[in-house]
Amino acid sequence: MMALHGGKLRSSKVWLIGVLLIAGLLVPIFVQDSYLRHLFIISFVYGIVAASWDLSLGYAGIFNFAHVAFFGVGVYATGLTAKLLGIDPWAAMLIGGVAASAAAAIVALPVVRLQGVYVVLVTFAFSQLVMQLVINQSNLTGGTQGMVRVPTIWLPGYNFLRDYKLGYYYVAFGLLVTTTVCLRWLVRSDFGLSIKALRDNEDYAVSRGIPIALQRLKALVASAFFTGIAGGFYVIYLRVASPEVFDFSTVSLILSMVLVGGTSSIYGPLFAALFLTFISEGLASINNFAEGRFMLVALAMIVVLLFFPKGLASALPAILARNANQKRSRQSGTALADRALMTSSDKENEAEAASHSGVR
Amino acid sequence: MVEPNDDKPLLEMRQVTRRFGALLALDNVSFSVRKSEIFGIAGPNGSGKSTLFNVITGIPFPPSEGEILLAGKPIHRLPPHQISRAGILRTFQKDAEFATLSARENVYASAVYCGRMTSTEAKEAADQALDDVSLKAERRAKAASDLSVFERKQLMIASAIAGRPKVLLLDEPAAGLTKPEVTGLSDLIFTVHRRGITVVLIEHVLPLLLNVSERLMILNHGAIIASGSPAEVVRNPEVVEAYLGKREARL
Repeated sequence: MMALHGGKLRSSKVWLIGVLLIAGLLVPIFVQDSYLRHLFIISFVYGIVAASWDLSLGYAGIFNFAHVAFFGVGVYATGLTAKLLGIDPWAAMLIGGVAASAAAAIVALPVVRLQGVYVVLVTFAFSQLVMQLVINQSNLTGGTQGMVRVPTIWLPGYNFLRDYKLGYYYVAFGLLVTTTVCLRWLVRSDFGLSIKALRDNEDYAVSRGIPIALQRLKALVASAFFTGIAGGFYVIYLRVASPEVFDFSTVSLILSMVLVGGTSSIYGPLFAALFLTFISEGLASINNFAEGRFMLVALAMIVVLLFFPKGLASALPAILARNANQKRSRQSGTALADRALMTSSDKENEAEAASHSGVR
Repeated sequence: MVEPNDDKPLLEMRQVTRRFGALLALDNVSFSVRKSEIFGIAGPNGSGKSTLFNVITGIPFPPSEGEILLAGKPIHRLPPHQISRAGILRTFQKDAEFATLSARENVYASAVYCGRMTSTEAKEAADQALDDVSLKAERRAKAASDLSVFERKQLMIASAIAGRPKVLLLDEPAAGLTKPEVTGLSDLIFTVHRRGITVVLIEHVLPLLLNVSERLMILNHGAIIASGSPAEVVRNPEVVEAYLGKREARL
């Protein structure tokens, strides 16, 4: 019965994913407006950043506040190598991923041995350090002015700049799907099991042969790689880079995506990123409400976390389970009505039996 | 039953000391455990029993001084996960489990990371270990946090067995168990032992300890005060004194 239920759940999940994939592929056909397409592209980028943060924050339980800085490292590594070294922007995107992973490895050195609030402090300090570095090296990075005219990606016979962002849409969508597949594969692998084990009980995990420092290093490096590539795409797409990517407001926006969506699910942060991007942009276009949207997003976060402390990703299984329970109780309700017809002596016998089994 | 091999100590402690500031938790402790024996450790609260397991496994700390050898090879400088992989697996006095993982995943993780098995081997080893500890089949897909106290103890021992231990360190496994559960536990210890696994057992429940141990060692204030066969040790006046206090011992 349970296996059947699980099987049904799994097959409906496969259906849902299939429908979403096709919907994602069809969006540009129905959405011709280039600003709306832009919102989709940005939300896909945030989706990658939020979902990959879930790997280190949710699954590995590392209070990693440098994740958005890894995104920034991706942005600048790609921007600088494409613009100053003239490296092909496709390859530069990959360099963004590798650079972010390298930054994560550096952060991991102190972080893998620390716990709790100290991890927050070190990773946060690292973010500030990278931001200061970017601002100080203004002759390379453009400092607070930002870096402009970053070369963009190309394909033979296709110009990305003249197709109402159609090409960019599909590249972003492809990156999002690839990242999601990789992340889901990672968290369901033995490696995923080991980082969850470390998160649940560190000493016990070590006593079962799980190397704490190495697994945490791998989790940080892997989660930074995807966010670094997303950063690379971000700068290639916008063609400008600004130190705003390191801002606390960026950190808190993406963190709210992770928390509202729900940690340890990958899908939760991803979909929360899509919704929150549209909501926050939609609200921004209302006159005189540019700042009020942050308040609304914060309010939404409080409301969601109040009712679903594990995020919205935990709500769906809970609702499905509740429906199943209601169905069961409706069925057993009929059984109860039958039982009401039992004679009183039958009831006494049953009560006696129940009291015996209680003793046993 | 596997015959003890008297010539070769499997686990050997040489002048092991552990300090916490001025406190001497283990004071120059030396002993050896033979291959395939069940070695019991007892002592009053705070006598250093659990500290002994901590320094052997390096979880959470190594010894301050001294050497620990497994099959003649020093292990006290290895990182803790390597000590586990070398074949020393422990259980903890307090409940320990991977709460969000299923019972089967708890055991599987140990088979993969400690037993260094392939995925297929590890699945088999996990089921075998769960059979060994008699954890009911219908409970194995449950999250470890949903299991009862006894089931979680079974789980902790199963995950240790699945890690292919040479030596299994059991830290007060009978604490909080009912009498029939304690009997089940002693059967389990014999099952493990029949597999050729050496067992070191810390226990306060004396009937269990005396029933299963081939040799017994008593610690007090971080030092060994007696060791030998269980019958010899319980008659040792120093042991009686440590447990009951001086005045009662004289009576």
